[in-house]
Order: sequence, then C-alpha cells, then structure tokens
Amino acid sequence: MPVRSYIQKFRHEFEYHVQAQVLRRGSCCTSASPGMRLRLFIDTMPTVTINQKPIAVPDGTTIIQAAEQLSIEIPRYCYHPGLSVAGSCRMCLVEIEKMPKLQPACNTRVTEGMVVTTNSPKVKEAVSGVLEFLLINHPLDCPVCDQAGECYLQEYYMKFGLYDSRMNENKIKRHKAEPIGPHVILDTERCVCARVVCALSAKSRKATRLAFSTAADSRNPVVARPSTGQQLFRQRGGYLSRWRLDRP
Amino acid sequence: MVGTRLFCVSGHVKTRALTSCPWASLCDRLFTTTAGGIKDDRKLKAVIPGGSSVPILTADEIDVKMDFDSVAAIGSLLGSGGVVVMNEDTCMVKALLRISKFYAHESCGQCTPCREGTTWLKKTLQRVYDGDARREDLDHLLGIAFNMMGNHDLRACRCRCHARPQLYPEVPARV
Repeated sequence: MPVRSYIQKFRHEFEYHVQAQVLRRGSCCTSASPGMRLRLFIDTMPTVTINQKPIAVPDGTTIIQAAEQLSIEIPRYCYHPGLSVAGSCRMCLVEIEKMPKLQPACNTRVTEGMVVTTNSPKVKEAVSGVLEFLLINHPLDCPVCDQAGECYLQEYYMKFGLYDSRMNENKIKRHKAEPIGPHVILDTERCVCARVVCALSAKSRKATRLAFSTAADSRNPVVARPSTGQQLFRQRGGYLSRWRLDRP
Repeated sequence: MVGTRLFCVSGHVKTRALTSCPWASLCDRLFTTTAGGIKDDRKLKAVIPGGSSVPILTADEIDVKMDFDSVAAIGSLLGSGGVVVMNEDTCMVKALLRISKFYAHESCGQCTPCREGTTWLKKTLQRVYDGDARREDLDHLLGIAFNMMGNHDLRACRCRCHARPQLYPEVPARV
C-alpha cells in the first residue's frame, strides 16, 4: 500500500503539513508552537540592501519605493505613485544580485536578502542607453518648450547622458496637438513618459489629476475625460495608440 | 532528451518541410535529407536554427546537434525550431534588413529600447543597404544592439542584437 508506506516513512512531514493547514484556516491549535504561528500569521518585513544601505520594508514594496525611503534617487519617467505600474520607460533599471539581467525598479518587489545596486557602471550605461533611445526621436525645440528648465529629459541628460548624438536618420514626425480633454492638449512628439496612457486607462479621476499635475500648470487643474481620450487615440492612431490599452 | 521535436525547414531548400525529427539529430541532416538539400545545388551560406529571433549560424558551424544545450553552446538558440536555410547567393545585409523591418513593424511599443531601437536599426540598415553607409555605422549598429540587449521586456528586440556580428564580413563591401 503506497499510502501506508509514505506516511510511515515521512510521518513528520505529513504532520507538519496538516498542522500548517489547520493554522492557516485560523482555528485554534494548541499543539502549535508560538514561533510557527508567528510565521504564518504576521506579515513579514523583508530586509533589502540598496547601495550597501539596509532597510526593512513591508512585503509587497517595490524597489523604487524602498529606495525613496532611503533617499536614493532612481531615475524614472513612467512611474508615478498615483498610477498603476507600467514598467515601460526602462529608466529605472537596477542591478540585483544573482539576477542575470537588469530589472526595472518600479516593477520589482523586494524579497528577503535582496541586494540592489543603483550606481554601478553597468546600470549607468544602461540608463544612458535608454535615455538615448528616448531622445532620438524627441524634437530639439527646447527654446520654445514650456517645460524646458523643469524637464526631466534635460536633467537626466546632464546627469546620465552627455554623449554625442549617434542618430543620423530623420526624426519621426508626429501630431503636435492632440486634444485629449477640455483643457489638455497632448504634444505627441514631446511626450515620453506614457503616464497619460496609464491615466487614461485608469478609472479614477484622482489618478488622472495626479498624473497630469506633474506636467501641467497646477493653477489650471486638469481634468481629462478618460473615455474621450481613449476614443481619440483609437480613432486617430499615432504614437500612443501603439500602446495596447488594457481596459476596453 | 528523448523523443522528437518539430522543425519547420524553409528557405533555399528543395522541399520546404514541417518535420518531426529526433532530438539531437544533426543540423545539416535536417536539410540535406529531410528537405532534400539546397535548392539549385548551390553552396550553403547560413542557417537560422530556431526562428528569425535567434543568432544565425554560418556554414562552418552547422555540424551541431539540434538540442537546446548543443545549440546554446555555440552561441545560438533553438527557439521555436523554425529553421531557415540560406544559400551562397543570399545578401546578408538584405536578409537582416528584412528581419529588422519585421521587428520594427511588430514591436508593440511598450518598452523604450525595443520601440525606438528597432526602428533606428531598420533605418540605419536601410541606409547601409541603399549604399549610403558611413564608416561609423557598423559600430553604431553594434552599440544600439548592445543597449537593447537585456534592457527590454520582449523577445523581439533580442534578435536584433544576435544577428549583428554575422553582418561584419559583408558590410564593408557596401560601405
């Protein structure tokens, strides 16, 4: 009889298994040790090391949030705390020990004992490369751009870029004025962060407002109508419609 | 590994075939016996062992067993088993350009390196193919491919990087 032999030979394993299940259901089990109950019932606080600085954060925190608590700046474009994580701009790549490839910090949750480096030459090279990709089709009209001076493209270029342009091809031309709401016009050539896509596909107005508050003037609060914007993108095509909008 | 695996042999072969071959059968056996050999009895130039997104093999390298480990050991991938055979008349720049066009068109546009990089590679390769290349273009192509490698979310852009070094012998002729 296989059942008999299995249980006879591995009795302790079966017992542990059953006990854990009973505990998980929450019923009182006097025989369980307090330590075991702790492990099963209390949320864990994984300790992560970012640039040699350790920090314990609640389970489910992403690397970018943990780094913020340590005042370590990780460059980002598409990440915004008020929006869902897109993980698309690839500016927040970090090096994680025992992982062969660089990972986006906005989309990777911390685990116990994780060792993260954000300032290694490998990361800097990758960030510089991504920035180059973002800038190859970006118009060079900074002198007439309202955002110039407070522009993360400019800021990160001075920090991570400082290369000579290798782009010998013609830049892609796109719509300069895409109306996406009563008070918002989207310049699809200048737009890089794709937050607008997240905002338009998000349900809440709060998220939308949050997303635009970084880009638009705070004195003229922006309320984009998600449904209108989505329809516009679908009908007219263009840069952002290359994105798949998840919500119908 | 035991059993068989499906391979789709296409390109310059006498009979294009979808065949089920035993694991670790030799790569050249695939198209000399199964697909009837090279079309018009030309010489072999290159083989893509696993679909357009994997590194290409030259004619010297095809003495390889078709299983994951052996193909990986010589720097390519088995992928989906879409074997593409190219004869000596194939222009590798054109072949790469065709593949680049496909991936530039098919990129979903989510991640920056793939979205921007595939188009950039396509444009540069088109220029190289049209005979308007510059000396530094090859280094740029390699540089772009290096930056795309590993920084993307999608398989699509990985291929670009792989196909590149094979291009070297041919491109100077076009510069």
